[in-house]
Amino acid sequence: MKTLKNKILIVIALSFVAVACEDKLEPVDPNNTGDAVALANDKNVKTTLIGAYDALSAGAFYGGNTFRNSEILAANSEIVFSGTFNDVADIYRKEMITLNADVAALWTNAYRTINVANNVLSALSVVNEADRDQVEGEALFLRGVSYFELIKFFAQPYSAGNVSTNLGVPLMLVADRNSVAQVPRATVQEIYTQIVADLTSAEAKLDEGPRPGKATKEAAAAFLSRVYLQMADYPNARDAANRVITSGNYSILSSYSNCFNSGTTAEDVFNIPVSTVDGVNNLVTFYAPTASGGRGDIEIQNSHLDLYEADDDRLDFFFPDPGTGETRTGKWTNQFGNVKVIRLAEMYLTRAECNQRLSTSVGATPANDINNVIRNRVGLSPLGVVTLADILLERRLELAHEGERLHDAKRLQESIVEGAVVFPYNSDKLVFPIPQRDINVNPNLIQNSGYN
Amino acid sequence: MRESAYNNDLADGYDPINNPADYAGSWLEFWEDYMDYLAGDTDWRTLETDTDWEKEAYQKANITSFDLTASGGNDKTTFAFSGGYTNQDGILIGNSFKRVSGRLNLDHKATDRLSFQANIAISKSMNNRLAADNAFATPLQLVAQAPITPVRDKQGNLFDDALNPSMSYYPATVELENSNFLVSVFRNIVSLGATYKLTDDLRVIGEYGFDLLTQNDDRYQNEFTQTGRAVGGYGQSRWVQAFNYTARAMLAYDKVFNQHSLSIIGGTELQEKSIDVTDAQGQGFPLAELKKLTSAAEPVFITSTLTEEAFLSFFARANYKFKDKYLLSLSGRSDASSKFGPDNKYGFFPAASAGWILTQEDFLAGKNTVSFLKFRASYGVTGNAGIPNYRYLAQYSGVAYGGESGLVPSQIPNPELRWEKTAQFDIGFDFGFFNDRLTGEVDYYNKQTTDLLLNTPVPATSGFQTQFRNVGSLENKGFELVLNYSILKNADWSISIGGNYASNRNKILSLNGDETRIGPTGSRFLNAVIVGQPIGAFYGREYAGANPANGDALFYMNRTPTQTEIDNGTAFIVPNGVYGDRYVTRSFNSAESIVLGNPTPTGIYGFNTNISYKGIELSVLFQGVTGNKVFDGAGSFMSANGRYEDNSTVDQMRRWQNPGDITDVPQARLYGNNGAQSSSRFLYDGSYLRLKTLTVAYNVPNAISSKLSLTSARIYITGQNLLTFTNYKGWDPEVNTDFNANNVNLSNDFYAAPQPKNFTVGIKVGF
Repeated sequence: MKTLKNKILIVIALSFVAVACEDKLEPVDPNNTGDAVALANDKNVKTTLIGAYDALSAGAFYGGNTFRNSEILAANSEIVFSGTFNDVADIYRKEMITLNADVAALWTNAYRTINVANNVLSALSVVNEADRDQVEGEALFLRGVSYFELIKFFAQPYSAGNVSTNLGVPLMLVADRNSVAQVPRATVQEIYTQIVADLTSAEAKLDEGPRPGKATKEAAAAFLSRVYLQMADYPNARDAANRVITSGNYSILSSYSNCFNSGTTAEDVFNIPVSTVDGVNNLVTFYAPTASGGRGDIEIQNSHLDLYEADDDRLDFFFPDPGTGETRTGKWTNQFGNVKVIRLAEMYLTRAECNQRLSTSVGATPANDINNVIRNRVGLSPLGVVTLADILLERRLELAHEGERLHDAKRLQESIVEGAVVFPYNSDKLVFPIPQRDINVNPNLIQNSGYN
Repeated sequence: MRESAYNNDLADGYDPINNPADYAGSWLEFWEDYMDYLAGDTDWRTLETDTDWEKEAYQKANITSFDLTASGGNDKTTFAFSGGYTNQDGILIGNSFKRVSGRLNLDHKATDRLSFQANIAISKSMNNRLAADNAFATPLQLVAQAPITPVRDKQGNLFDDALNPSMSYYPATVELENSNFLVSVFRNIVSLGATYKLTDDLRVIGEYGFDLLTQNDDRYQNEFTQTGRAVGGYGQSRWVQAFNYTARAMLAYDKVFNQHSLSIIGGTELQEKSIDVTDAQGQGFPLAELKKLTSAAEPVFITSTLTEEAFLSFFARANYKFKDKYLLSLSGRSDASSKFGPDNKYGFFPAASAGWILTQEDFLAGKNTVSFLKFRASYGVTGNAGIPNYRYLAQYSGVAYGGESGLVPSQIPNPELRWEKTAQFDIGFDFGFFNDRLTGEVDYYNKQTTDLLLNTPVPATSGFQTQFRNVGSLENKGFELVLNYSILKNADWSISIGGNYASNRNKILSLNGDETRIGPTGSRFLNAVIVGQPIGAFYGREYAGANPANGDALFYMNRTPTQTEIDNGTAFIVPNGVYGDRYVTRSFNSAESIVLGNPTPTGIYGFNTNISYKGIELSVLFQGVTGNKVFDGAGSFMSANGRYEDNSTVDQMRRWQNPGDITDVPQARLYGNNGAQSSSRFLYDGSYLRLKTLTVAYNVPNAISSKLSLTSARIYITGQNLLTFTNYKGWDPEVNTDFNANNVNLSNDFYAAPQPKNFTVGIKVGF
């Protein structure tokens, strides 16, 4: 009878266990943490700042697709995209539908980066005073850069004028962090004003480089030079580029081919690190042959190769795909190579262009920058007289397939010509539609013209 | 495809066929060069190769299966055990499944008052898995390969897209010969119970059961595979341990007095689930033979996660019966789930049902015409907590950038998150007529779901894309009818037929506030949640057909166009009433989206017959559905008039070619998107009628089986899915592709594997 009693006790005990387990209903997620922890102290805010870089480095954003989108939208019959990703193919054909998933991915990833940066900026008071400027500068840099990509793709270019009435994108600042409010679009001018403010403040607060993969004083200045070029503010663009060059923290590599498919080089002002364990280089995904781990989706056409002089080292950099025989660029063949965002060479090209336009020679003469820095490195003889057209062609070849083509075409008011079809620089077709997913949940968003 | 390239040339102002000077640099030249590539070491000009790639995707599949069961015992202890072995090939190349299992059930009466039960089941299964439907490596994506491409070159090596290249896409043939992907599942299910009778009527019951699942995904893709080739081979080992237990303590009371019978049970239950995952992936293997991660030069991905959930319930149920003709049941349970916010964990779910067996009443008793008649009605509320864990919390997740660890906000909190509730009303009859020769049931149900749990999109400007919310309400109603009729039954013959029909209407009644639509969320699939429509309704542009004048794909405007749109030619009416008097447009964005169809069948029916003569049996079961549509997401690739390098479906033969052609397939344009966007063009009627099973069996007469010391013996042959009648052009209308399926994304095809047609031959013996 005694053992029986024990068994009854076990049964009754079970019911107590059940009641005692009520705290199981208040779970702690071992994989993630909450706001209170992530922004609680110096170390955690800095860790969240790394999270903002990670958001920037997403494949759909600075992991490569942003730069790919610029190049295929401005293909100009110089490249053919023959891949099967229908949304990417529609961007290439300038036949985007408002549901385009790649368009939506740029939008969502840019705002994700902005939101992480705003979260960091909201918690600066807990950051050690000695590091506060640096943390703030990095967050402002990431926010400014993200708005810059948004405004370039989702709005008419600055060069199209009407900047105080043309619609930009919704402006989300520190007070708007994590907010699901239905915010309308600010104007193009308002967004540019914010970008200039963020990057100017970042340049002032940040430490000098080089710091591989991180925001520096020079990286902020380099982006400012791009922003001012879009605004056709040539004195400011020239000076920003000149500050990067004269910092002396970067140098032009002796061989053009060494600039690519590598980690950080002395020429990299800003890049996105990629390794076998983390990061992605989607320029390789789309440009590289399948044998190099790419999809072999983008083929370089003869009309592009014809732009180079015969003994240009950059021409030798193209190669036939070992599989299909189509021509590929040698810039993106290492899937674990960093995504090169800004190289020092671009600063020389920007400085030369602005000096030429303004008839100045801040830092150096345009002839010196073009002949001795850019052309000399790739084995080309110096030009006798350097014209603006020479500088712009040099820029187009030097930076080919690196993500600048669409934005340069727009600011220079150059048309994109595909076969028999001409797309003027301010064509609606060269502007992304506001993603349908956001139009659906935010009735205050107005769709871009041409997409209704 | 050559035509599509030539069309591009004509559009660009060149004519390489009639003007040879235009050939160099033309699209036609580009494509003919590409065909040289696709043909590998053969010549497409002489049609040397004509590969049926669809056939290459399938294999003949065999199934072998053995089962053994036994039971016995004495008045104190009884047992039953069973063992089984199954070895089954999939119908797609490289797919197979093996399973061994054993089970033991024990009942023991320790004393008159105390008894114990134990059930133990153990199994191991091994599945050679395939890539998901949206991967090039999945066998059915072989249909995208060109028929002019041979499977192998003349030396016998497989062709692919990179190492021995003659293809646009990586083929499953190479994946299969150079990889393994074995999923092993070890499962132990144990339940233990003890019952102690406090009095003759009152029992205490304690139960404890657990389900321990251990799974290993062992994957290796060598240097010839798409994943492995640029990195020297790629390996993965993923371990999952899922532990799920339930502990229950109950008090039960049963009493029969006079003509009343009462049983009451109440108790408490705790359920906990935890899933622990460790995943490691590495690359750079020295030899293809060394497939384990220990040989990988570089670890590239390592993660482990743990998620836990708990349910705590209190419940009570009472059943009452009077004179075996009036039945009443009442129950209530309070469930608390760890998935909901602090103030919303508990849900209360009551239910009541009543039954009346009319044939027990004097006025019907003993009548053969109406041999059985029961009326029943019930009402009850149930709860659904079917969402992932931790969805009400604010979350930051760990990430890595440049070798440093970081945190990103990954979820906005929703403390309001609560149980989804469904109130269901049911009314019905069970009946038997003519001495139960005709039996059946009729049911009507009405289900009202409120606080529908959905992962809903939020403005991405927040930094987030979705949030789990209780967003609205949903209605499901319908009726069901089942009839079985025994035509003949005597010593030698037995013939019966039966049929069933169920109708269901489901409709979203409301969403958040004045919101009327959520989704579609991407460009490839069309499912949306729309007020007044069934859940997952297809929503998108309505495709019209090709413009007879120029072969452009046209969509119906489905709205009144503006004067500007009419003036600039965006919207127009095709002459001669080809598309009626409706406005059409070639601009996809200009056309208004409309509701295009329902992914869920509104009618499900079946009929069966069983015929036996002496020991020979024949049984046939047909099943069918009506009222639903199937969207073929692969249509944008395989029926897209030259958009990609994919081989095309036969309907592309009727493409627009000359002015005046009236057809639904637009002009072929190489790499051009001429109507390949997701629209009603790729939406098909999903109704079907299918011969689900057909069985012929022979029961060996006792006189023979007893000579073999057997108590019974049966030989049978069963066929499944032998015939399907449908208008759907894909492989199988009964489909939902694996890689994006959820409670909204319904009825989509995307290179999904069809259900197999199979034959089973079996022998069943009893000792």
